[in-house]
Formats: sequence, structure tokens, C-alpha cells
Amino acid sequence: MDKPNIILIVADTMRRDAIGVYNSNVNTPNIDRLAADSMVYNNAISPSPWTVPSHASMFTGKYAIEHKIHETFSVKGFSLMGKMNGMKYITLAEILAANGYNTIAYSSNVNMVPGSGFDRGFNQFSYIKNYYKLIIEDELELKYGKRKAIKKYVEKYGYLNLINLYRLYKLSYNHYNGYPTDKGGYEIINNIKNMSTNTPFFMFLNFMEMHDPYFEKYTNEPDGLDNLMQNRKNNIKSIHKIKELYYKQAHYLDNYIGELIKFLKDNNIYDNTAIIFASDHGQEISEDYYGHGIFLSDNLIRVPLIVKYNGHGICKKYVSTIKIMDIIKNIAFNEKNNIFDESIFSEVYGINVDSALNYKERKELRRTCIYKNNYKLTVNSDKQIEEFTMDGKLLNIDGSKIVVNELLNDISIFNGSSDFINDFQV
Amino acid sequence: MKREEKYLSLNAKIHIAKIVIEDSIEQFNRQAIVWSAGKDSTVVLNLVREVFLSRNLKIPPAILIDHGQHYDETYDLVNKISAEWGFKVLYAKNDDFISKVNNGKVLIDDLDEDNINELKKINFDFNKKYMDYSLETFEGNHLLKTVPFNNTVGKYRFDALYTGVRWDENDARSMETFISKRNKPEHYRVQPIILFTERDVWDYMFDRKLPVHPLYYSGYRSIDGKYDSKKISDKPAWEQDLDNTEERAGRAQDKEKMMERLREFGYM
Repeated sequence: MDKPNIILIVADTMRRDAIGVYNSNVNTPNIDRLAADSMVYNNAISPSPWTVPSHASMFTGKYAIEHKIHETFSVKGFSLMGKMNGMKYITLAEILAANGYNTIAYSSNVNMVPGSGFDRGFNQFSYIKNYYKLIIEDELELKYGKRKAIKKYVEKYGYLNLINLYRLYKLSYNHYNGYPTDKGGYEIINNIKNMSTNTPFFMFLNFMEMHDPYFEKYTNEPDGLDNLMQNRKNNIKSIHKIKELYYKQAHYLDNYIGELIKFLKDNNIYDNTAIIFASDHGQEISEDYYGHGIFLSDNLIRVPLIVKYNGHGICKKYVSTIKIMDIIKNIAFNEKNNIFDESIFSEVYGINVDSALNYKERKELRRTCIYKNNYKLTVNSDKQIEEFTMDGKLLNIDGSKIVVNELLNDISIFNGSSDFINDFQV
Repeated sequence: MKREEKYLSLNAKIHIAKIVIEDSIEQFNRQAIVWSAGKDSTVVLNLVREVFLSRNLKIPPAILIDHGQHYDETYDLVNKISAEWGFKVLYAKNDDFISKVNNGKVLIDDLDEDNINELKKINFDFNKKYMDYSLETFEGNHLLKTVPFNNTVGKYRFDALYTGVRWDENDARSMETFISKRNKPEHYRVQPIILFTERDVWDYMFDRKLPVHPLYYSGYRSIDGKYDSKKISDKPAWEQDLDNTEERAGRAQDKEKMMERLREFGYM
């Protein structure tokens, strides 16, 4: 048989509980049908809670502390652009391209564009415009509409946020591909429908539909601006509304997955195509924190992982999405790399964007967490234990000092020369 | 032929060793020292310690290959030095194998799947029902040293390991470079003292007043498992004729011969 085609689908910002196979209250029939043909990983952990380091990990099989494509207290967000170019590890696409795969990418995430270094090894890397593109390209084009609103906004949130706001504002009227419901997916699928399937291909897709903001349409209500930027202190009512919209987005994205699978079946390549469906991180939607990055809660780092290739079932073992590299090497080259580690880590190095809007109380700290023997322990650079749980249930630290100290020990070794807890023990 | 920088002073070799360690700190994130409490790895440990402390970095952890046959004196020394200097020791141990030893032998069928797969990898003759609990056979060395060592490196994702390899130990090591790459698991070996001779090691140990393993006093030149290390003289190691006798004469010579093949599978 021919080499299998391989598709890596990253549903950006998709929580595990946004998919029917993990949560029967949501409606994602196409992904669920894919899951029925697949190995479904119930305990997949993302190595970082935001796009850039997490994708760098999927592309290299390394943690952020190893590939170093992560934020710091001074370098954040778009300042990281391009760092992947000089990153020392070989990438998934480079390996596959060197072994005869046609390597193609469609990404609607602005962090992964041609030239960013995430395109290394891809024969073709297409960036599908969504609103973020305009924020960067037209920064100087800001004009003078809605003067009063702008003035008030600047006073409240500062100039940089105004630029973001303006783009969103403009687009919400332009109905760009149905923004904000569609954040590029339509164009990704259209591109795929026109592609050739003659040579074995590796295709990377990043869908942004699950990423914020979530709103139906812009209004001139007093909180309309804040709605656009999702820029407010949330209350129970607004949280409820956002969650409803979030799961609706999952259903919307699910249609595109259905179209992709239909395309593969129509071209008689579904059976010989391995599909890895994952996300780079989840999303926290609560009164305490809204967004991603910064923290390591389960809503942020427990992610879907569905692998369609030779067999189906449910796997309860913990697995890191850094192992997507090994999963794909096992598929492409018939290797037998072990994908289960005894200890799995996730880490974050500080706020991931320049504009910290609300949540002033949130702290810029380094955080590392470990999952081991079903325990989870998160510690920060103030040497505070933020979470000690087993399968999501809170545990008492005083009653488990030996375990906690062993986990702290492992974190300290994992952090290596940039360890921040040193010999901290409880 | 043993390879040697015959006319370079020890002082210069120490400088070079420290430059190599500095370079490794620049290049790698997660480093560890392969340490046996023997003389060579203790010299490396001290060099690494000095460089790390001068940069306000904590001393990286040490990996001790624990085949279950170390002398009590070795464990005592490991505990003493690590407590005094303040670094962690990770014991790389094949628990499955060691738990199944009976009268110095292990029934192959008793071993777990991982160990069986490792034996397949080295083309073990499965017509043999038993294997010895020995460090000096090819398969014993592989399961008791190489495998747990590689597992530990992979488990903690170390990217660089400091070792006490020296050119003048034996021919197999005479082609070593300061930094070399290894696969499965992928990492780099950093070998700061390849230029040191056996005499240099002792001179450095005494000059820095480093703790000397008690077995060297009673004549051992090279220390590992308690059933396999032999001494060829009762004089303390450093008082023997280092130039005209073999450092590893007390170790099984078959093993020295199998070195190339051992290294192929990741042995030190």
C-alpha cells in the first residue's frame, strides 16, 4: 500500500469538553464519527496553554523549555514572530518532506504565517486571513470614526487596544466570511477542495473558529465595545452566554470537519489517510479568568486528541501532545516510538500578550505542572502550590507530603538550569 | 595506541575542561552528571560544580547507574558528597531484572516485556533459559547499565550529560571528542576531561582535596561492581606504576574487548 497521507488538524483553543465524544451535552456529529474510527485519548495534555509554544512543541516533540519558542516577562505575543526560524530542532514537516511527502499547511492563526518559521519544511504554507491579519498590516491606517467612543476607550484601555478594537469593529460590519463565527474555516475547506491528492501528503490545518472573541454581532449597546474585545469583568450571566456561543462554535467547526472527511471519501483516500485531531490549548471561561495562557488549569491544558489510523478505541493513559511528533513518525515510518511518559509536564512563562486588559490582579509568574500517577501538581515561581489534585479532585497537601515532594523534585529536574523552585519542599 | 596530549600542563587541561563546561551551559538546558563516586566522575563533578557555582547556578543532578552490585562504600560516599554539596542523585536501576535474581541468575521467561525487547534488540540467544546477574557479560551490561541509564535520560529528558571519559583509558575511548551527539534518546555527551591522564586525575583529586573512594586506598585502580572489580596490587592506586600497567587490568578483559559493541547500543 502507498504511504499513508497524514492530516494534523489543530482546532485552536478547543477544550476537550467541546466535543461530543468527550461530553455528551455538545453536538459535534462529524468529529464523533471520526472518533468512532479512531483511538480517542481521554487524558491528552498540552505542553503549554497558548498557541506559539504549544505548536512549536507539536512540531518538534520538545517542551517549551527545550525548543525555547515561548514568551518571557519581556518578550511576548508577536515579538516571538520569527523565532522558529532559528530553532535548533528538526521539525515534523522537515522530516516528512525529506521522506517524499508533499507538505502543505493552511493556517488561520496569525502566529503561524509564511516566514514565521512555523512554515519550515512545508512545500506550501498558506495563511488564511482572518481579522488578526488586518491588525498587523493596517496598523497605520487607523482613521477617525466614532470619535467619542474612541476617546473614552483610550482613556479606559489604552491606545494599543484601541487598534485591536477598531479592526474588530470594522470587520463586524464587513461580515468578512461571516466573522466572527467563521474565522477562516470556510476558506481552508475551499482550498482543500482544489488540492491534488496524487502524491502522499502531510497536511497541517489550524482552525481558529474556537478562538475568542465570541459574540453574535456588534451592537451600539453601552457594553458593545467590551463585548467585541471580551474585555470585561464577567458575571454569571455573561459567562453563561459566552459558553453557549463557545459550544455553538464547536458545532460550526464540526461542519468543516465533516466537509473535509467528505472530500477524503469522495476522492477514495479516507482509508489511507491518517488523521490526528487535536488542539493546542483550551479556554477558560469563568468569572475568575477568561482566556488562555498564564495559567495551567485543566480547562486550558487538557485537550482533545483523536488519532485515526489502524484501530479504534479509548485510551485512558496520560499522553502529552508533544508526542504528536512520535505518533506521526510511527504512522509514516512504521516506527514504534513509545508515546507514554511516566511524567507529563506543562509550563507557562508569563502573560502571553502585551495587552493585559482586565484581570489586573493576575500575576505574571512562571508556572510548571506535572501529571504523574494520576496526580497533578502546579507550582509557580513564588513557590506557591497552585493545584494539587487527582483526576480533578482537590487533595490535601499536608496529608501527602511525600508525594508532593517527589512531584516537586521532578518539576525541579524538568526545569533544569532555569529552575525556579530550587529545593522548595513542603 | 592510547591517545594523549603529552606536553600540555594539567593547569591548561583544567582550563580547557572549564571552557567545555561553560559552552555546554550556553547550549543546553537540562544537564546531568554521570557519576559513580569513582575518581574520574568525581573530578568532573567538581569541575561542573565550580563552573555552575561561579555562575550562580545550582549543581545539576547526578545519575548513578545502580546495578545493585555497588560496594557499600560507594553508596556511603554518594550520600555523603551529594548531601554536603547539595545536588540530587538519580538512581538508574533495572528494578524488574534485579527483583528477579535468584542465586545469581535470572530466568529469561521471568523478565518483563521491556527487558525481553531489549534482549531482542541485542540479538540475545533465547535458547538460553537463564542469564547471569553479571555486569561483565554483554547482555548483563546491557540490561543492568545501558538500559536503565537510557531510560533515566529519556524519562528526565536530559539534553546533555557530563561524563568522565578519558582518552587514555582504552583504545575505544581514544577517538572521543569533547561534545558528541547520541541518539535514542537523543542527547549530547559532554566530556570535559578527555585530555586528563590517570595521573592528572589523581593530582587534581589531591590538589582539590576531593573525597577519595576508600577502595582506591587498598589498591583498586578502577571501581564498579563488587563482584567484578579486582585489584592487581595492594598499593594505593596513585602509588602504582600508572604508566606501565593497565588502569582497567582489574576489570574483565573480555568486556574491554566488547566495548565497541556496547557503545553501539548506547553504553558509556
